[in-house]
Amino acid sequence: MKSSGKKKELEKVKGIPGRKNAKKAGIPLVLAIGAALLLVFSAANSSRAALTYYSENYSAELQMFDIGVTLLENGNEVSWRNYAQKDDIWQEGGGELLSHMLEGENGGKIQPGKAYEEKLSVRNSGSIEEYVRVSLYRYWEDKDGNRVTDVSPGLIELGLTGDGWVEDTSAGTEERTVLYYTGILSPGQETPALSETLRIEEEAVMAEGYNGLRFVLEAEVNAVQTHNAEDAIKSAWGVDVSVGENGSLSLK
Amino acid sequence: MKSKVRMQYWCSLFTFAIGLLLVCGIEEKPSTAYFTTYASAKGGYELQAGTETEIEEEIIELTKHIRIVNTGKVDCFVRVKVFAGSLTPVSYLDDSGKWRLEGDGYWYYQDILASGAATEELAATIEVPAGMEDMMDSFDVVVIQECTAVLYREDGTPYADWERKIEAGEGAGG
Repeated sequence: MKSSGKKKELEKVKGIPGRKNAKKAGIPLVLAIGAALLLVFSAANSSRAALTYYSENYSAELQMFDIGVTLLENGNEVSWRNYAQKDDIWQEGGGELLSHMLEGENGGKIQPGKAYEEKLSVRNSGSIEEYVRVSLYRYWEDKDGNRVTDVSPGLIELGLTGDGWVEDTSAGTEERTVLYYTGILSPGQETPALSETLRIEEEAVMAEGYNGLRFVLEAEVNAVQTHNAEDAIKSAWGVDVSVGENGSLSLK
Repeated sequence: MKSKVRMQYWCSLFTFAIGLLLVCGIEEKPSTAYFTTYASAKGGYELQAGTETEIEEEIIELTKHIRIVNTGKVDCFVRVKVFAGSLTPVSYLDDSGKWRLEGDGYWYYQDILASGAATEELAATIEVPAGMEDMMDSFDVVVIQECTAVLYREDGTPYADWERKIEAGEGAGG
């Protein structure tokens, strides 16, 4: 008892910690070392890529990953948007759909009921593989360009082929049709045509109320990378898909 | 002394947690940016709808000279039917050869009638029965004319659907 009292007195006087206090003092040291190691490893992850890139020969083959897509109508380029390999610059351009539809037509008038050739397809005009989808809109406009909602878009009949394309019926309306190309589209490759014909139903010219209305067909192509496709498509398009072993896309 | 040790403890724990978050954050989501692009185009045409026709007729003695004019904006097909009393048979003259009488009693104009165009003439003459010559002014000849928009089959062949006809007018006299 007496000697123990002396020890405590000694600690108080000299500030020398006992075994218990020494243990407590060691914990922060271990944590600090652990934290430092974690920070070093986290930094090493990003620097690993740099080490690989700057190989000891100081040479590296650079491959640019540029995405690009082109909408085709009857084999002709209508609209495109391709990454230009630098500085976030995009090469984009195009014209109008249906601009050649009435060429050689009697009086330049639409012939109701006639099936006009309207083959829409997509080309990969980038340098990486991609998945594509096309949203088609059919609607009527008045002379001022306002959308007319009380005339059925069904009178504008687009003949779909179903060849390699699958329709997302859950995203479709009377006005909108969304189609997914189920395969991977390689650079330079074209999809099969998603549509074959465009036809204005006869009923459209029978009613005086339709006179002066303008029918409109609109197509929007979206493309996304194939790497990490399910997440990429979910993030870019908000759609859940499954990608098969052969790369085929299916809607969930 | 005790508070200093506690301070060191919490600082280290904090640093450790930050380090852990950094490592986990980097490992779990290597990238959330994806390569995407798009392209779009649209186009369309104005539609001319609704058919409208008028009869142009001239009466010379017992003959009615009938022409139909397309006053609408849409090309159409036309047909006419002539009604007279049962006592007065009607004879027809079609110099152009573009009118054709069908079994339903209608005369069908064979050509598509473009907007603003008129048909060739069809002449309808009534024959007054013997003994009724003094009643010539009291005979009525009624002409019914109908039109329908030109429709097309998928291959572009034009046709008329008389189930969707528009009865645009009629003329009487004689």
